[in-house]
Amino acid sequence: MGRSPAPAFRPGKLIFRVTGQVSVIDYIIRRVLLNILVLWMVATLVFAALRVLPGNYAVAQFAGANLGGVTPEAIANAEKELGLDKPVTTQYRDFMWNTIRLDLGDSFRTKRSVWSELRDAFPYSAELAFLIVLVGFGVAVPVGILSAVNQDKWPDYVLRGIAIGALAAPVFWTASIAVSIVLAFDLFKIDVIGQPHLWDDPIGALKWYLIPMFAGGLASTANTMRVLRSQMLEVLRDDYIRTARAKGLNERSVVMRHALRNALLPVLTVMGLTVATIVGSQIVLEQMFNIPGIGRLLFTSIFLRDYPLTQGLVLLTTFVIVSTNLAVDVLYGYLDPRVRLA
Amino acid sequence: MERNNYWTRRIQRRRMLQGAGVGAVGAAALGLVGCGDDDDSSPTSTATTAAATTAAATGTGTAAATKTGTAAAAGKKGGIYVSQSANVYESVDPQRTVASPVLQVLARVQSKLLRFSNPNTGDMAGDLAEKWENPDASTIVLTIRQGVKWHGAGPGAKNPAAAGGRAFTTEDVKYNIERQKAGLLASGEKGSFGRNAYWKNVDTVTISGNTVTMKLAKPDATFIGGLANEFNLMVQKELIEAVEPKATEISADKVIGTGPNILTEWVPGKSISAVRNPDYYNKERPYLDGNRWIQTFEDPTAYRIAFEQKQVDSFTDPDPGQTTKFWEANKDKTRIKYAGVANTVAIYLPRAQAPWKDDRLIQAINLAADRRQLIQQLHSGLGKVSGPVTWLQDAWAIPQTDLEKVPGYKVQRDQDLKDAKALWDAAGGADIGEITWVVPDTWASRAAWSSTPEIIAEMFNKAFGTTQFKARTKNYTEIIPSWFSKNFDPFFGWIPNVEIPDARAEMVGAFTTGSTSNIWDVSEATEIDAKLTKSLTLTNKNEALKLVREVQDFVLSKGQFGRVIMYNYIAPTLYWHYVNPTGPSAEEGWNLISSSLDALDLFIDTDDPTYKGRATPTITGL
Repeated sequence: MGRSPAPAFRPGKLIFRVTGQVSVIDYIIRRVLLNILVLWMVATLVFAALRVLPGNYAVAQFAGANLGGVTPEAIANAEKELGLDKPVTTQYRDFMWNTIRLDLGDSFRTKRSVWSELRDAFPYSAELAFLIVLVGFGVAVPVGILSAVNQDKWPDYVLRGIAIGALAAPVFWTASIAVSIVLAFDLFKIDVIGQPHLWDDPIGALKWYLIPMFAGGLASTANTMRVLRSQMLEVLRDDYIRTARAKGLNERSVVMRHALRNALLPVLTVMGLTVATIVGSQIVLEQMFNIPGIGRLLFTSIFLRDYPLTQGLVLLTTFVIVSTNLAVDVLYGYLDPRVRLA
Repeated sequence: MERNNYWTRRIQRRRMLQGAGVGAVGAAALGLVGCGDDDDSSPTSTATTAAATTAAATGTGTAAATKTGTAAAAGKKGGIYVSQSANVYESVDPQRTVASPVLQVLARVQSKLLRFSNPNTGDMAGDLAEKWENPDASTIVLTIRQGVKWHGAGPGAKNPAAAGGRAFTTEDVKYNIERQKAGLLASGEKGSFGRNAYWKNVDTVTISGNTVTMKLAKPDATFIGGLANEFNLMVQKELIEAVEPKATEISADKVIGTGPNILTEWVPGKSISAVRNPDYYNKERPYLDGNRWIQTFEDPTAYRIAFEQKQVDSFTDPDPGQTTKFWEANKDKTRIKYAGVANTVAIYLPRAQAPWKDDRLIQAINLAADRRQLIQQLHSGLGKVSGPVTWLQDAWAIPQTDLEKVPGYKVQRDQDLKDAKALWDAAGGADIGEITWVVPDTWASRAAWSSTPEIIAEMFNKAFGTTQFKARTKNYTEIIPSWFSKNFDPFFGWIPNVEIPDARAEMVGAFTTGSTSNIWDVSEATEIDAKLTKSLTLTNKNEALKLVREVQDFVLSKGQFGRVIMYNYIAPTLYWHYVNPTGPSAEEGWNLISSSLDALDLFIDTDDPTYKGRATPTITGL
């Protein structure tokens, strides 16, 4: 087997002095500062949006209850206890000051700190997100390759058709169909109450996560597969691939060792952007499967106007998204030093 | 049994409606529904009402005098019942809560002085009081049950502030009355005691041996029934005063009771557990070894999965049509229970302000309001029209057959609509300009009801041949204060709940001159004030009922003065067949909150074939 003919770029020390004038460290610092600005803007927006929404927790907690006891006095007492009687400017000042000190406050509903709520919910969301990415990547890569190497043949048409279908189908629809099939044929138990973690009960957890991970994974698969296919088609026409073939490398080595490696770089960017999509689909999937993660918590907190919890969850989600994008960009530069970061 | 059941018949007719077209066929079918209501006075219903009337007439009762629901006849001990919990519990103090979800938990661990053995009719049974007398409308004598103890085990009893295992005494009764009457916390601060107005009527409380005598400041024959209100749970002085400052921080170690269960875990939104109280005074109850409430299902898919795979024992879809559909497909494996929902649906008109001071406009709205159309459109046909006293309050309401003859409630609506239009035009309704209905956003946020504002506006535009009616949503934060200031917009939605079967106090509050709740400025000295005030003094229910009926007829003749009661809908709940819920029969349910009865009488039949495949639930023990 010959040496890889892939030219120019190879991960390495070049990362710290790229082609332009700005070092990666400078770049990261600038991006971090920009991310702080984004976080501040998001915090302000979510603070304002929650207060613009009609009602507050003092009323929401009585919803569907006995309105006979819900007097203006009872609402006023509840508002005072929650600090909602203070002027909005005071509430905003307190919120920003506490956030800077990483104090996200206590949930109105449970009276526990928002950090405690996040600590309980985050592992569930992380598990599901990991599984969704695993499915997404695990399915997209082979399907994308297969589609590219069979360009304009029936496997390509079929796989592209499926991908477009998966892209068009909302996750709740895919999940509902899967649930109906599982219940109709009594295939396995979906433990929506036990809520096991992967590390406690891997089999039980996988059964529980099986439908949401595939429903969420398929949606992200479609996008990734399409990008990978087009990249593969482009790379497969490059000179160095022709050289590799001319040197007598077998087709498998050409595709897997040389073409795929280069075609995966744009896919990484797509995967980074997919995080936001996954967070969105998780809100739906966690509702549907009673997964006590960030998405479910966010839905409940918005519904109940639990301001501290909603604010904390939105900030955390924003942090994850901007950090992931930053990480992807940095990783991209690491994998391809030709990329000008600044 | 199912064929003769009122609720089942209603659904079958609704299904027929679905199969038929709308319009003329719909009107004919609605007529059939009306005929069905003829059968409301089924043998069971008549018997219970008569029993209640007789018991109340004597003004006394004992625990042995009444029996609880049918579940009592064939109950089996054992098993853990798993159901969905509420999302929010705002306090561990039942006397400072206004929300019924708290009672879902606390009514299983705490007790009242009396309870309704039949919440539909008001039939009562003893609880902490084993005997009660109501010699006149101002005196109540309670004989307190001996040998009752506060829980001696569990997180609450282990709380250092609690007096676990202590005997329940007459001093506990006096403390609970005086705490709520004063409306003060141990710190001396004012507390939000939801039933403060009710208890304020107690003038003196005296103890003699094991009897407690209450003298009321004003005669109130309904007061005795209020003791059985689900909100009137007894708390222990030692523990409640210690946890008062942090009563909104929910946990099991802040709760102690004398009830059939001991609370072992209370984590809102996650898990709640209660196990059998081994020292409960009634050794025959509860049937269940324990209750477990799991976190709220935000989505019906998860709830359905949990029910179908027997992870929970009951199920209610947000769309009642889905629940009944599921039951119809699984009749041999499941039971369905229908219960009236105490959140009465009504229209409120601001009669204290122009242009609504003109009673012709109010009468026009009352006549034009199509109650049955809304029941069909919004509740899959599951509901019954209500007059000034809701049909939930079986013993006090105008029977449905009589109500259907009243303008505004007729099944054939042609004449009502004609009269409504004439009144509207005569009062210059068309010249009023835009009229905006307000619908609570909590109502309109439900998927099945999201089009309610448009439906309401269209209903009146169509009835009056106009386009002046619009609608919007608002939050109760804005709505409730506007009620009290009497300058509210025309409103459609839920109004304050019905809590007890006796309707007199509610009628007095709504319609007597000067009452705080009389936001319509009703002032009718002869036809209302005198009759309702007198009814409060009568311990003979039949005599009181006659007066209340007269007032209802008068109120209806005036378009209900702007307090236009529309209907109460019905919520179906599905159970696996191994669960035996409480109620007059397996299919019928209680109309008013009945958590304390469920705590005693609901049981699980482990020999039922459907029990197979149900995993044993885990529960936090003592």
